[in-house]
Amino acid sequence: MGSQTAAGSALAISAATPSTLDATGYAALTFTEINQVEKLGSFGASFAKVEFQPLKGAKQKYKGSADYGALQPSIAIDSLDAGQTILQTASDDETQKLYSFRVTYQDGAKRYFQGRSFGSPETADGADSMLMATPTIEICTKVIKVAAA
Amino acid sequence: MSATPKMVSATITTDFNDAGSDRKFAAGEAHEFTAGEFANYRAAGLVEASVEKPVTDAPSPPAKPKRPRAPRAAKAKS
Repeated sequence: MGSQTAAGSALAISAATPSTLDATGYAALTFTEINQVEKLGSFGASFAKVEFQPLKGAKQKYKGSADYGALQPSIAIDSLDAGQTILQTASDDETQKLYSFRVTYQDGAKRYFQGRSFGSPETADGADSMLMATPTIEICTKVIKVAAA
Repeated sequence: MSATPKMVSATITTDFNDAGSDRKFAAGEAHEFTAGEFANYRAAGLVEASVEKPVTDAPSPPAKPKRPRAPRAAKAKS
């Protein structure tokens, strides 16, 4: 598939870690879907910019350290949802444990990574809005991209 | 040929739903889950492993016969 909308995309979490950090390792895990996700937001690696301005010549730019970014989904709180409960557990976890995540797009393409949730603040806005949670999942491993089958 | 996944017997500790499989679970129910499902649910405190009573072949020892109770001596009135 070429272009596609975000509709039908899904976020899932696993308390387990893959034996290998590749598509095969992640595919062997069991993921639990997180329900009521409104937006996933943007995620992916970016690199620090290292600049050097010599006395003679143009500014030189180099790629520095990689930052795999963060996922900041907005989620309508559902206290009965297993996936949200696991994500809340990850947010409350005071250890350095990594959780595995899987993003599935409409066409079946997948993105796998491991991360730590650095909190999940809740928002109670106006009367005509849902109670929302906006966790911050800091991505700690390279995002593995798997094309749609 | 795919191997049969190892199943784990578990007791649901709190009501919950699984959006991925569209299943609903109620507290107190017993279910069998794959090891992966069980690990996820247990991490979230939604299930606990069922404790099965040990099965023994030996019959339980017969109950001791009750000794007849001696009647109480009447209290002397002062």
